[in-house]
Amino acid sequence: MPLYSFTPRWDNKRVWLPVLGALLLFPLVVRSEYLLNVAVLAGIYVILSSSLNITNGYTGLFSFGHAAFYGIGAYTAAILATRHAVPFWLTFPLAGIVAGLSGVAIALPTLRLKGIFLALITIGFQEIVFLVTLNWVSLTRGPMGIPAIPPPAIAGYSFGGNRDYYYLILLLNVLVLFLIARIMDSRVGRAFIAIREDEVAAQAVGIPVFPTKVLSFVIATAMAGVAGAFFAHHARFVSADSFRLDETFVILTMLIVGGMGTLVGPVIGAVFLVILPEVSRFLVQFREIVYGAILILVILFRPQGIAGVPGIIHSPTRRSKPPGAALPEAPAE
Amino acid sequence: MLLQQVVNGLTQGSLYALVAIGFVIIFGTMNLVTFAHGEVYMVGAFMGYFALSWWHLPWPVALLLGMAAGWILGVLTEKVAFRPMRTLGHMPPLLITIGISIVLKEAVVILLGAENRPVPSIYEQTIQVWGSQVSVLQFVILGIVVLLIVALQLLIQATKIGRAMRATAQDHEAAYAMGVNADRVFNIAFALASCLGGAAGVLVGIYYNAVYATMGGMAGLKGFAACIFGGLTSIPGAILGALIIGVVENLTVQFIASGYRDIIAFLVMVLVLIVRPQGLLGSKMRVV
Amino acid sequence: MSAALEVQSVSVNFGGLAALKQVSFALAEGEVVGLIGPNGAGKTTLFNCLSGYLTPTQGTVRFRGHPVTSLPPHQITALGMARTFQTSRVFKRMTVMDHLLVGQHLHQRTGVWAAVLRPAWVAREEADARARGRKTLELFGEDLLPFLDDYADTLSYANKRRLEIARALVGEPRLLLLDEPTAGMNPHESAAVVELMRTIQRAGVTVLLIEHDMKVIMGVSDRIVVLDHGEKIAEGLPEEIRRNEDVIRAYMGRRHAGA
Repeated sequence: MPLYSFTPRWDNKRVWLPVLGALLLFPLVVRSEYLLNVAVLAGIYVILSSSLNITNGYTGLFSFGHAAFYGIGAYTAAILATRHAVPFWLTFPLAGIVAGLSGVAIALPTLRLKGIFLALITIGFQEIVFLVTLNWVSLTRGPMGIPAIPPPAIAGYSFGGNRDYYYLILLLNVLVLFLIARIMDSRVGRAFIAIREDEVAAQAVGIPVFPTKVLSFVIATAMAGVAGAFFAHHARFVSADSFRLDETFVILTMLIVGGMGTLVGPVIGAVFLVILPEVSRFLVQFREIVYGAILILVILFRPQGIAGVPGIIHSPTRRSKPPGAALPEAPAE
Repeated sequence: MLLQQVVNGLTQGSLYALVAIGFVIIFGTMNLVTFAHGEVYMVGAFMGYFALSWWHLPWPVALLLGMAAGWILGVLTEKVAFRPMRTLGHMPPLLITIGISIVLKEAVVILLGAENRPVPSIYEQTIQVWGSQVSVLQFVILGIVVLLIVALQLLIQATKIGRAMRATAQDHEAAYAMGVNADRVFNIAFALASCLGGAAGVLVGIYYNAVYATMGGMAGLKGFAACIFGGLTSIPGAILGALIIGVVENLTVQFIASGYRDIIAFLVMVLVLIVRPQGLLGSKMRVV
Repeated sequence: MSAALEVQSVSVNFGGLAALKQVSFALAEGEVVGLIGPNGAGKTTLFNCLSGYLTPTQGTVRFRGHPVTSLPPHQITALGMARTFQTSRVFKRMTVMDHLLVGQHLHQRTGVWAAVLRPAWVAREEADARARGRKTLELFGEDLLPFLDDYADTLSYANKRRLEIARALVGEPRLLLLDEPTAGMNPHESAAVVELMRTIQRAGVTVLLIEHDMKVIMGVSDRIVVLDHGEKIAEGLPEEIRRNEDVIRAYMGRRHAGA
């Protein structure tokens, strides 16, 4: 029996209550702005890798375009907040909605493809979104980015130090993980996993595969959009450069290192990889190269990551083949 | 003016073509994709830069050094990333090559910085053709690319290892059954592809008089777009795709806006995948 | 008796190759019909046409009066047809119980909103589904019940095949297409599958069965349809088929006919 349950034990209060308690007390104990900033960053990446897990881990759709939706959410929040004075508690859900709708728009032409072709077309869209963002100067101010995004404000109180952001991102984390846990432990989640395991059998059981894939994609991209909105209000400046393919690779690395297909995997991966370079000032400059090296090592020696379901990145229906690659799936249904 | 842009486009496109052919060779024989190809190109370019700017070697030597660097990197990548992971599907090797590309790129940034490194010019003359100025360098580059492609074709058609590669590309299982050493074929295929990538890097450095650590990313993706255009397994298709991308890019810069230059390749990639995923000249992929 | 399934002149051409040629037959409600023929005769291709994975080049399929010829698989399942596969397609990283729950996908209503907000009926729906799942497993005696929370890829080969049948059954189909359910089973296990099919038939389910095991086919079929090289070469009662010269020739080659 594998060590980790594939359906998350979200009702296991004995485990997560103390963790939540510790997290709530954390900023009262740790006062350093720098460390709190690291914690906030970890929180953002937890949302990003957990949402990527929905498509890549649970549904078996290898999307390489996640950072684009993160960016769409960030820019939506930035534009609404700076040009239309929309308060943060509206920019967040609106960013999620816009990112989700973009997800639908991109899902429709792309989710008919499988395997490597899906990966490639999502890369294509990722770069197109980046380039359009960079060039649509009237909307996004192009390479200049959007500065002076107001911090979140509630009833006159404007967010000050990182402690405020910390509690907000903690709240968002709890919300996102709660949503994912509930969705996956239900008829909907079972359908996602069935599609990952065997699309043909999933159809036979009555699951409408394409609409279900789109649903999985939309949920993931909407959550990435909300993370983007938070980023916008925290960094107070957005520029298209933060949302390129490189960023998708970072999120993907966190997901793979932490483990795909479980609730805790992406959380562990995000926290671990955000904190790791901070362990020494020296290491911080080498953040990217450390990520690259860890990715290589994990795939070579422990492809399921720290806490993931084994075998997801391997093509699921491979029989044994002679030395050489597995054959690609047909590009489209 | 138009002719100028077309020539520019063809030259640029021919360089994309070298990268694209590399992808075709790898995918054709192994059915796998590498994300590190752009960085192999970049390493080749830096090798060319050292040869020309630091060691003042003649450019053909620089070219050969770049190709050698590519070859070695290809052999290493195949051994590290592909051999252990080949039978596990396309995703594990792809992910490892992503890691390799990150490591290579960042290593160069750390060791040599991220700025442009200047490469000395060669053949600065231009000649008049039908009313526009075409540089001798462009002819030279086009000539070299054609030479390399012809050499590649000769190798594939007329040598034993080339036959082995073609057999493996047609039908892995039959080739294996006939005694083709798959390990050797894949290693050579990878080395060959990377060698062409390295050559492209050197030539790009010479053409634009600069190399920089992050040049591999876009080049790799564009080469890939061209490869997809041709159907992933067709060399002529990839060349055609690369030339089209090169020309359209230049026309876009000239007549629309320079910022949208890079988007052309991705539009091609996305459109081909949506409308005809097997590419213009590829055949329908076999379904497992 | 109304026809559960009507197959009319179904032909399938792959490029130049005719995989099925004008195959026609009908199933009455509640029948168990065996589909036999040498390897490559087109039996699984026919199943793929019936269940929506393949659209025939020509011909029509009607299921309980509905034309289903070009419907996708999930819609055909929704109409009441379920199937198993020649190479067992279980969901490796889902538990046995998950299989039974996902097999009832069409009988449940929980969507994203309900999953998140959990109104009271969701828990009831799940509990009912679990109960129905257990009941279906009882048809297999003690073979699967002890493994309810185990992942399907840890099951024995025979159990995987049983699980696939259970997953198809739990959705309460009207017509069940079984593709070589006893492949790889020993005689004891095959006999249990025969018993299972009789139980299913008593519950009113129509069954179309591909099999190579003649004992199973003869033991459970009301009628038999024989395919060879894509064509229907015989149809009738088991005793008739057993003596049919065309059938014998198809399986044995010309020399043995009439021996």
